[in-house]
Amino acid sequence: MSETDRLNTDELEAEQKWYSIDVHPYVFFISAALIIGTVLFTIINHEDVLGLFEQIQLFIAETAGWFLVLTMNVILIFVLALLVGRYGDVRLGGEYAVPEFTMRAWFAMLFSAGMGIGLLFYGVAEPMFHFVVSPLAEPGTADAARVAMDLTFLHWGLHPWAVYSMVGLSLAFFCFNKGLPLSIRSVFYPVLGERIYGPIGNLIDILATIATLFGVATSLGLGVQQVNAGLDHLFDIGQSPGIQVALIAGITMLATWSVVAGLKAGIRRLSEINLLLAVLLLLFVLALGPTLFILNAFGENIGYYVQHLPQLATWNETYEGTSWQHGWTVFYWGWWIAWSPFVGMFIARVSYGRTVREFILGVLFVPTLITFLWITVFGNSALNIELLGAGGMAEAVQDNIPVALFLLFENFPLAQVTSGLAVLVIITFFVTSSDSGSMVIDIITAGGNPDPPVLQRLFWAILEGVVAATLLVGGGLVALQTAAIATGLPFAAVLLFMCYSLRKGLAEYSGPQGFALPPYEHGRTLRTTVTYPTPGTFGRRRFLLGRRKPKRPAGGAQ
Amino acid sequence: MMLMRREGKQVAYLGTAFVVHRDGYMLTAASLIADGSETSELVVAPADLSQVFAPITIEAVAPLKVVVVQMDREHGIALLRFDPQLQVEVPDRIIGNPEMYFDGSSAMALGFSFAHYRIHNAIGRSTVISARIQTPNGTKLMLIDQRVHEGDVGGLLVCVQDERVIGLILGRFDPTELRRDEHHDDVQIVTGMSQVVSIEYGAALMQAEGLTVT
Repeated sequence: MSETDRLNTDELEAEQKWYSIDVHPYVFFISAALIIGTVLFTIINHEDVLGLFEQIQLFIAETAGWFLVLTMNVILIFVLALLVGRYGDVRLGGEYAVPEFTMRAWFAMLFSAGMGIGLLFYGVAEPMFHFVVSPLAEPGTADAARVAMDLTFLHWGLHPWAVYSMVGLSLAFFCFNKGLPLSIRSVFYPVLGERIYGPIGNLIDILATIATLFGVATSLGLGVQQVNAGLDHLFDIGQSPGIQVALIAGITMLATWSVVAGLKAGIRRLSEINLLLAVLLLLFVLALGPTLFILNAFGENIGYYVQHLPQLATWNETYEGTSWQHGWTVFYWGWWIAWSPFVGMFIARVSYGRTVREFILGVLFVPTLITFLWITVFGNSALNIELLGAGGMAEAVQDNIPVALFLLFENFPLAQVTSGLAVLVIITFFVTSSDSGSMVIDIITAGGNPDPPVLQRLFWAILEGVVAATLLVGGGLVALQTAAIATGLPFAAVLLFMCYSLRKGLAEYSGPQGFALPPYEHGRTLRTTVTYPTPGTFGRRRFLLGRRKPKRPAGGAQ
Repeated sequence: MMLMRREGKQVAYLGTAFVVHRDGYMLTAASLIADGSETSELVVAPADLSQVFAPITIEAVAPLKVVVVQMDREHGIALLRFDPQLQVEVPDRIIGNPEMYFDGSSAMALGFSFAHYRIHNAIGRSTVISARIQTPNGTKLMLIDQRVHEGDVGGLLVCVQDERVIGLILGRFDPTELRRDEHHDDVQIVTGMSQVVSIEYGAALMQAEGLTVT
């Protein structure tokens, strides 16, 4: 074996050692300490913690809800401006970059990013909730149904996807076009320069890590509540925080096993099958549900959404003096913002070779339309039952949100099969979300290393489960919502800063490539003079030389 | 930028330096400042770009002081920085990779060719990469089909294809210098070619300074 081969083998073995770690010390340890600290605090103060979470949620929603609403709108306008602006032609990866995936495969991946636990959790429940407790219409009326769909579209529509577009585009641009590490701090290079590698960059990555972890943990918490509700519905096992913690432990073990075993191909296949099952559920409800009502509603819902978007998107309950938005709009905006590094990084990784315009068209509109279709099929089916059918769903959903999806299935044939499939889909979403979430956090806390050691990923996968379980036991849905809002709020400021930095980066990239000195204090002016350079080939090029030969003796033979 | 040495109320031109980083870093040829005695009084001054047809001579300049922060004598490159540090607007992508092109690729050599003689215009010349060679000590050089002048030393070689800097001009090419051990000192061959050292050594200096190379 040659020396080179031996070295390569050694390197390979070093890489494969299970205990090897590669972390950014500040980002990894400070983030981990803050998250573990929160978990310990929640466990120690578990008796008083629900009240505390409620107070925190109320305080943030009342004092900073407007800021989250403003941030989401600014980002949407910014992304739309990029779509029609002159930077639309910038290609991610450079002028000659070729897309890594076909358009069809790319859309499929965006679709999978768009689908998630949350959509299964809220697809039926949210329209029903707004129908019964409508903030803008007489509850229980046709008008309330229309407003309910509109509010649900607002929360799941262009705004979240604009945030994901902006974060994904920023990560892709600064990674593929500028060669910077795949990390949130890289996005701020045009503004901060080399300081992104200093304390400010560390702070940005710490915020991104905490936001991502709590964003993912919120989804996992919601998911496990729904799995519990589904299993209870099917097998009457009951619903309690204890069962949910046991479920989290079980499903997290499944997720960590997939991480350790490195079942990338298996998980990917599972994810594809899962997506197919979700589509089958959708088609099942569309075909056996009130098909005509759904098809009519789809166009009307979109039209109503477009018509009322400016009004609803800027609504702050200023004149009503109510607090309806605290548990809905403010929660969603915080959650999407917290979730954005995760989805953004996934979207960035699959979008190499796309132009900015293609990227925004694909990421902003395609998943939004798919989401609208999902919500219309499930939400309008439930509304149809409530408005024109047997009814009874609204009341049940008010009592128990997670059970909403399964109550809907009861109205169709093969309810046991579809409910079982839905539980399976949620569990698989849980596993894939935990797997991908821990990967994204791992990349950030490893300083942008796209392939960090598996031990770290294991750590984050377990911590996600622990955080989800702790929050559920500590305060249930309120705790999950508070976690999303509290971590989303500081990251909202980061996102606004990101808009500015991305625009600056794109302007520098697209604009004339020139040099300019800033205005500076002119010191003393000095006269220029004639000088005498080194003759001959000029320069001391000692590095060129081998051994120097003595000068030829005078009169010597040539 | 024109790299100069301050001498009382006057500045004496040394060679060319070019900005490579927004935090005010420049690369130049180490040979221009290798003695060390000049480093305490090193300054740079930009060309007069206020007019399209610029005057040939700048009678007096308002120079900026620079310091040497990294020096690679082995490969003949030095990294300078404005003192005090200054943020500079620079192109988004500057540093190229000389290994990406082929011999015969078009390039542009840029420097203040005649600034020693008080002709303070930056002069660009079209050329091609004639060959890429390694010296006896392993230094990667590009030979270009262009006869550079004294003031060009420290100047840059830009690839026409992607407008990135791929080398730093060292001077004219004399093949006997490469094998001085086999030739007598007074043997010189005048060629129409010049030699440019690979920019990778400049990038290495930047990285050693903790800078991101884009």
